Amino acid sequence: MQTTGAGSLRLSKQASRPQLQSRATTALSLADVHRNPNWLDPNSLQSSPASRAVSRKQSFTHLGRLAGNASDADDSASLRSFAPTLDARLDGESMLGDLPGHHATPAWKALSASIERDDPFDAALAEDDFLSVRIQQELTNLDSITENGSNEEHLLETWKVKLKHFFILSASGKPIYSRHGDDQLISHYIGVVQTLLSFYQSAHDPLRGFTAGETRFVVLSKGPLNLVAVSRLRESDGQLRTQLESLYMQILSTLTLPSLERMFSNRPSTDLRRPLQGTDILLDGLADGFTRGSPSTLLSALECLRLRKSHRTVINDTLLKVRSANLLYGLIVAAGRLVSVVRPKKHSLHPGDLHLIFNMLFEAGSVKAGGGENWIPICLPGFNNTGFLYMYVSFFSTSERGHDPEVERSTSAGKDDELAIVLISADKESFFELRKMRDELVVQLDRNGSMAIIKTAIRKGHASCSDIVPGTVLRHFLYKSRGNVQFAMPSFEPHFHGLVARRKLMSLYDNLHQSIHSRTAHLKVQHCIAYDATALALETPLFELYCVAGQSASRAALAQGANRVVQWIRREEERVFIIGGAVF
Amino acid sequence: MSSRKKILLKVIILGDSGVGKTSLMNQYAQSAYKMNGSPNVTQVNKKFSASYKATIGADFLTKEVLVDDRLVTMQLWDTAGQERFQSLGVAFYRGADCCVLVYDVNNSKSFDTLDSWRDEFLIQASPMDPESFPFVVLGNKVDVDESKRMISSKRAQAFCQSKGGIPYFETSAKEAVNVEQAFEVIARNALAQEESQDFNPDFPETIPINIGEENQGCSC
Repeated sequence: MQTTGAGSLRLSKQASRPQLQSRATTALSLADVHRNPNWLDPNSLQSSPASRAVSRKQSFTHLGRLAGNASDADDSASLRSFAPTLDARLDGESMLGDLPGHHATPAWKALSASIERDDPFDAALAEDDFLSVRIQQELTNLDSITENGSNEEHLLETWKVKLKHFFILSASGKPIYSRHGDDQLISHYIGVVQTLLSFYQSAHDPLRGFTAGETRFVVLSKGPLNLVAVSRLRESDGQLRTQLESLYMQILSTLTLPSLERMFSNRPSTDLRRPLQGTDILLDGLADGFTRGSPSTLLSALECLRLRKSHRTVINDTLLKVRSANLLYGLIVAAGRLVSVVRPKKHSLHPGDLHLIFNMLFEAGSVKAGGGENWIPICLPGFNNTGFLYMYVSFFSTSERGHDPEVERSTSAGKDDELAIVLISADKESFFELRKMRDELVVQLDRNGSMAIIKTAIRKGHASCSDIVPGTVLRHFLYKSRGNVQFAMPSFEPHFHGLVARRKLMSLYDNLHQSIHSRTAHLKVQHCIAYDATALALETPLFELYCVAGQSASRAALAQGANRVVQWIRREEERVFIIGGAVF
Repeated sequence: MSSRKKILLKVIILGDSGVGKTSLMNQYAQSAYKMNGSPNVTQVNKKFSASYKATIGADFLTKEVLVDDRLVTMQLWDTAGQERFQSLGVAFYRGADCCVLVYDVNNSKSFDTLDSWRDEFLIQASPMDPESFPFVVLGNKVDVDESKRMISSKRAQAFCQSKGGIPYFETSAKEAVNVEQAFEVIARNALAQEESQDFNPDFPETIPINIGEENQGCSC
């Protein structure tokens, strides 16, 4: 890890920072806390008076702490160097906590003070940063064990440093799915898990989770399946359990619940990998999404493509006009964002089901690889976990050339095929009917200009935070409309480039979400200050809002930014959210 | 390699403490590199885990073998014979494809308890058809001097016969006698058990959803 020159200084600083652990701040007033961005203190997350009363162990310093483990520069770290604006009036001792042995060298202090701190999120992205290496390798797949087993130890090492694992095993302890590592590598770990689960099950006290070092294990038992999440990203049990629920729903969407139960009641030793063959790619897509951080899963909400109300109305009307008799749901989806939906009055769409569809279409890539036109039996467990629906999927290029339905259907999907029409029916014989509807829909959308409008909106992408709220200190936000089960957010750019910054941002959101949703803390507003960011979370019966700004933003500026986001949403509600949709 | 689906088999090994269950597993794990197996069963890989026996009462070995043309992953569940682990719980035994009962031919008590190990397994695992569930009995430590032998081959075979013709092997984990042959039969019988109840999963049954109700609200 050690390099020379300026690079090593920065590395040491970042790597060692999180090793520092301290008690809750005793800062006397909020203002003091503001002026002393205090990454050192995990509890500084909850620095508002209301929240400080609530004791919490979680912090988002963990990402860095992991990095620190590998650095031998820790001891040279300076506590003070990370709070260069430390106010002398504060009680330094308690601010820094009891950390015997961690004393700053004068040289280090001087160097740290001179390090530019304009955008610590970006600074954390230095290529030599240990964490970024770690996260970037997180999603790479392990090789298989060679015939003579010579690479086994190497694989095991690679496997063990993964920050996150998902395992699915049958109630008899047979492996069904693992994000990393094949049977050869994981089978005996699965045995260990099963033995532990069995022990607690026979005591009628099922194991729900445990911690080993910095690693959290969460177990979800669903009938004949046990699902286990292993995370070093400090997600809450609730968040990990939501992720496991989603993997479970993916399995149901392949098999249906009655079929799954029948297989295991007929034969407890069922090796479920066989009926699930080919769906690993979907589970991987979901798992990797969770590891990268998914606002949609965190909030259990959908994101929509922002369109003018009048434009969306035209699209909705078009959908209704061309709706065929056996259609259950019709969706127009742009790169994971919903453009429009047509649905029966009595049935809304479950966000979890839509997540499965979006994952299948846009993350896993398996459907796109099949070309422009697909017919997929799928169980949508949120809608009905006992049977299959039939899904007609057709992809479109978002480039500006015109459409010939016949031609587009037959050409295979390209890289920019981000737009999909999804038509779902309960009738398995309705392929030709839905294809006809799709063709008509495309003709109509082209004719009334909607297709061009959709494609333009897709190409524009997310608006940046400063476009939405000019001049704000906010760098990113998540706004969830509770009534609509939808959320809105700005682009990750320009402040959060790449996987690492995005993962850090999502960890921050995870934390805010956790605090707001904790059963013991009835927080309505939460203000957090950390080394590299300040954040504000607030909830009302109508919405949840999570805002993130740079580390020097004041609480007032954050609050002002939050208010302006709320105003923007209020103004744009019918653009950023689908309200009602096309209902028949 | 053919695209034929791999099968994972769960095999549980039971028997008193000290009869050599772990040694048998070790021996089997190492046999991968000796290549002296029968032409039909070839060990292609091995994996021997760290020991968990002292802490959770079980150890695990994963090994891929070819049985005829089928690639099979053997997931061996080795148990601690001690009293304190004697009930590992239903979920430990559930869904096993074969159960291996081990005793020490020089220890008559370990032979006498075979029946209760078998009962324990049948109670806990409650297989669909207990009569035909595949067991294999191994009489281990045949390398020890004949004068110390307590259980004759004849007596063991009579026991196995009385339990519905359980295959019986006399083994020495220490000197690698009969270990591979025994595990070959274990793999075959487990595979046969697995396939006897085969369920055709390729096309899960379609359950039609009645959407009549949904369409009632239609007013378009």
